[in-house]
Formats: sequence, C-alpha cells, structure tokens
Amino acid sequence: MRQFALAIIVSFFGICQQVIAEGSFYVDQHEIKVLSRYNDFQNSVFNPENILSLEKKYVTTRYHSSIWWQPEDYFFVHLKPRLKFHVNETGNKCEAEFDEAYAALTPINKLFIDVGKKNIRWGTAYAWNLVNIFDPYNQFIKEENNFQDVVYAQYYINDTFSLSHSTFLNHSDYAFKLHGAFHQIDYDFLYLNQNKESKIGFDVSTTLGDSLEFHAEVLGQKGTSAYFPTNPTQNIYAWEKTNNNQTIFTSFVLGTQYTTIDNTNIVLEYFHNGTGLSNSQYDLALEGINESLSGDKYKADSPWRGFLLNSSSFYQFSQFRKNYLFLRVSKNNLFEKISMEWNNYYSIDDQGLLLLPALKYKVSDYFYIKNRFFLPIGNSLSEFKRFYEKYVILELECFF
Amino acid sequence: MQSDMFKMRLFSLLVLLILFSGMSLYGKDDAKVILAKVDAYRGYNQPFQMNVEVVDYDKNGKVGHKLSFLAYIKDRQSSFLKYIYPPIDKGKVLLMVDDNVWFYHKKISKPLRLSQRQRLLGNVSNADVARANFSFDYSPKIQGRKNIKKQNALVLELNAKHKKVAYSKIILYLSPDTYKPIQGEFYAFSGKLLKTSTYTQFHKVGNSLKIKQMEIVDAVLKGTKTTINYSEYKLKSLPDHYFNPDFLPRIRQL
Repeated sequence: MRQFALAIIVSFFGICQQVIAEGSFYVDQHEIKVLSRYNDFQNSVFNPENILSLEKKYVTTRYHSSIWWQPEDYFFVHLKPRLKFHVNETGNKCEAEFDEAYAALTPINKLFIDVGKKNIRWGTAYAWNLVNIFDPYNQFIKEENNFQDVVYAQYYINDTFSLSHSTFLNHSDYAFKLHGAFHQIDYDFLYLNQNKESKIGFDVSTTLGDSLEFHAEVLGQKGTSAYFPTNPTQNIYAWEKTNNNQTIFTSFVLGTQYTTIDNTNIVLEYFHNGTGLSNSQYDLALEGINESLSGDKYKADSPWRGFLLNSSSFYQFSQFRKNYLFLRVSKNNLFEKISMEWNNYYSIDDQGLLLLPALKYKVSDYFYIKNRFFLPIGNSLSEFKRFYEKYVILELECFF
Repeated sequence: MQSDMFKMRLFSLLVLLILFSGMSLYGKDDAKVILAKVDAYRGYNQPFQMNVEVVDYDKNGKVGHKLSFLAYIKDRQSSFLKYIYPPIDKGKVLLMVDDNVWFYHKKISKPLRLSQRQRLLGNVSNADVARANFSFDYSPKIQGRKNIKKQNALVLELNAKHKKVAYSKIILYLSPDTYKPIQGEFYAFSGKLLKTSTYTQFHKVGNSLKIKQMEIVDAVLKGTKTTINYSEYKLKSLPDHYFNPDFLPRIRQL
C-alpha cells in the first residue's frame, strides 16, 4: 500500500517536473501503453473448464516514467514508477509500483555501487541467458520483466576489463563477473551462487566480417538435477531424473546473428539443457508431478500447481525438453512506417513450435500501433501446446 | 675512363632518384596536411561531444525519419551515441570502438555486440556520424583541380588503407585556399558510387570553423536525400572506462 501511494506521488511529480522545472531532477521518458489481449482457451488441455479463471479478454493501460535525481556528480537516485489500470469482463483494478528504484554512488573513480530494485541482465544470448542469475528466461514472451533488490557493484579497470558483484537483498544468492576483451572477442567469466549451490559460467561473443556475429553461453553446475521426458513423444508430465549430485550438469546456448544487405536481421540460437533444479527444487517438482497426476484436477493447495501453471499465468518460458531452436527475423521499415519482428521457438524433441509474429505501425514519432500474436503449434502432448494459450494482443504505444 | 663515366652516370641517376623520391614524399605530406585541415572542420583532435540530427527525405521531399543523438567522440576509433529523438529511442546507446559495435537498449538491459552492417541510424552509416576523422582510415592524393558548384575546387582522392571502412574511395572537392570541403563522393569496394555529400553550412565554434550541415544524396536509392546537422560542439573529458561495453548501461546517466 505504501509503495502504491509512493509510486502514484512520484509519477505525478514526474509529470509536473517535466513541465515546470530543471536542475538536479529530470525526467527522461514517459511511456503509455494500452494493451488489449484476447486469449483463446478453446483447445486448452492444460486449463480444463478454465479452472484457473484466466481472463478471456482484458485491457491494460500502463504508464511508465523514468525519473532521475542527481544532487552530486557522485550520487544519484533513479525511480521508475509504473501505474497500471486493468479492466476485464468482471471488473477493474489499479496497481502502482516501482519497476526500478535505486540509489547509485560513485565513492571512488571507476567504482559504481547501486542499491535497490534494479533491472540487470548478464549474458550474450537473445532468447535465453543461462548465465543471468537475475532472470534467465527470455524477454520475448514475458509481458513484464522481473526486477531484483540488489547491491550491485561494478569496477571498471579500463576500456577492456571490469569486475561486477551482485548480492541479493531478499535471499542469500550472490554472483561475480569478470568482463574482458581480446581483439574482437568479448568474454565474461562468472561465478554464481544460487540456492547455496555453485555454478560456473562463461559467455563469449564476436563478429566475423561485417555481417556475422556469434555468441555462446555455457553453465556448469554440481549438485543440480534436471528432469526430462524419457522419450520425445512422452507426456511432459512423466520425467526422469537425468543427473545426480556427483556429475557436473552442463547447459549451453550457441547463437549467431546475420544482417542482410537490406538490413534484415536474423538471429538463430540452439539451446541445450535447462538451467536445472537444485535438490530441494527437484523434490518439490517431483512431489507436484505425482500429486498432479494422481488427481482428476489440480488441487488448490498443491505446491506444484503454481509451478505447473506458471507458464500459462505469467507467460514464463519453461524448459521441459532438452533441445530447442530459437529463430528471430526482424526488419525496420519493412514497408513505409511498418516494422516487423518474428520470434519463433522450436522444441526439437517434441516438434512443438511457438510462433510470435508482430507488426508495428508508426503513426508518428510519438505514437505506434502494434499487433502481436502468440501461436503454439504441435501435438497435444507437446510442451508449447500444453503450456500456452493462443492469444492476440493489440497495443497502442505513446512515448514523449 | 669508361669506368669513371659509368660512375658519373650512376651518381647522376641516384641524385635524380633521390630528388624525385623527395618530391613525391613532399607531395604526399602535402596531401596529408590538407586532409588534416579537412578533418579539423569535422571535429577536434581531443575528446568532444556534439549534437547530431539526421533527417531522411523521400523522393517527394517529404520528411521520412528524423533521429537525433548526442555523439561523444574520443578519438578516431572510439565513440558512442546517446539517442535523444524520437522519444521511443531514448535510452538507446551505440558504442563503436575500432571495428566493434555494441548496442544497449533499456528493454534488453544488457550490451549486445552487433555486426557493422546493422544500420541503426536510418540511411546514414555509423562512419558518417562517429568517425570524425578521415586521416586514420584513408591515404590522400591530390588529383588536380575541377570546377564544382561553380567553384574551382582542389580534388583530393582518399583511398582506404584497409577493408574495414565503409567506403573504398572518397573524392573530396575542397576550397583551394582554406581546404573547406565543398562536396564528397563516396565509393563502395565494388567501385560503385554510393552517395554524394554536399557540405552546405559551416559555423564558428570558438576560434575554429566547423561543419554545421551536410546533405547526402543516395546514389543507389535515387531521389532520396538525408541531411545531417551538427551543433553544440563541446570539448568533453571521456575516460577510457566509458568505452568498456560493460559500461553501456551507465552511459544513460552521463
């Protein structure tokens, strides 16, 4: 409630500040998005009779602004409030919160320390970032990013090397990163401690000629389990444990990016193995699977239910197969004022396909209309078909 | 006796060779000095920032895209651009170091390496904006005089020193007394003319004259035109760590 009130006050202040004052306060962007979404539940095996009570149609209006207060060169505060009005067939609600709210300090030259809620991403890949302890899941499916409460310190040694450290305020996870470059190759070495288990990561990116880019991420972890179907056509609920504490569980992403002469951009990524589960997560998952399979419907108090339904309710990609491909084709100015972006996920093991085409029409430099589709394709047992609903989104965006 | 004659001839030949090589060396230096003076119209020999506005016009002369950004240029190899217009692009940063290009967007929240071919500045190449200096990438040669835009212009031919640049050859037409650029022709490695630029306006910044506006006519997309306006040149301290790709998320706060 306090955050709600504060976010409203700060948003109002941001709008006024844009108009009336200058100096150590400034607002560098306002964004209003009206999003209308229509879900198609007709073929959903996953949500029979809509027991989750998901909304079939809704309209959300979101307002974001980005506010900076910099009283000194070595200190500033950044606030990014979000106001959200949500209307569906049964009623409406209003939310207000901060997407980002942190203080940043530069105590000595080249050292930067941020404390608070902040959006941080690590890694070189587009669809999945295995090495991103903050949120590994892809950005193309989710409507909203996850932000973390952190103490984030970065020391820039020179134009090539830097050291980063992050400690999470809400739990005991922490991470280190060494960034470096060698000729035309960027690389990061990472150490992540998540759920009290250690992970070692490495990522790299480079270019070849003037049109090709390559990137990769590798993550190795001990004491981690993964669960995958025992054969490609098997129901996604029937998993087996593939690893134990004695072996090192390795996952990786390999990707490339090519730009054609007419500036069409193509990204292709191959993803192998999920991020894995810790032993406690694995036990919880197993319990949930058994519980889900034993009943006719999901039980309201099942700890596993939320995890299973996570994909449908929060559109978060989950890895239930071993091998995926991601293909992204994008082009600005496909036609005059129209740009195109098409993201596609293909599950190699069960031949499931997730298509996410989107078109954007530029009305003016301030207004845009965007149409997005979310189309899972495959047999009824495939991950995408089971875990996602078909939907279409129409967005009106305004920036000023 | 014959041997002495031979020695005399050999000596004369050597003297001539040295003289000619000296002359050719002098000529090349001269072209380099001229090119350095041309570069001075495009920027400074020390780190600076400037506002850049890029406007694309279609075949009917109607404004297509308009972009503006703050360009921070450290030297011939290192620069970054902070997008300020249109509002949807606020928060984007493009970093260029040598032949490397990185991009940051607040929605992606991490620096991404791009290939050089990816154009993020409308019809303008990264080099047009961020490389304020021809001397580093091109070898100049004086090619005489030619009448251009009703002026008797000095013709300077620039040939790429390596293949990592956007153009294989540039022909610059300069005012013979001040070396102020009048027009430029930019050629691809295939030998094809890509575009012609006309330096239309200059303005005084401190004690020196800088380019204020240039017009680029695309030779491939015939009929289209782009203008680039440069303003608010300022000397600016740009430490090395600003050019670390990991610093990109923090550039927005500068």
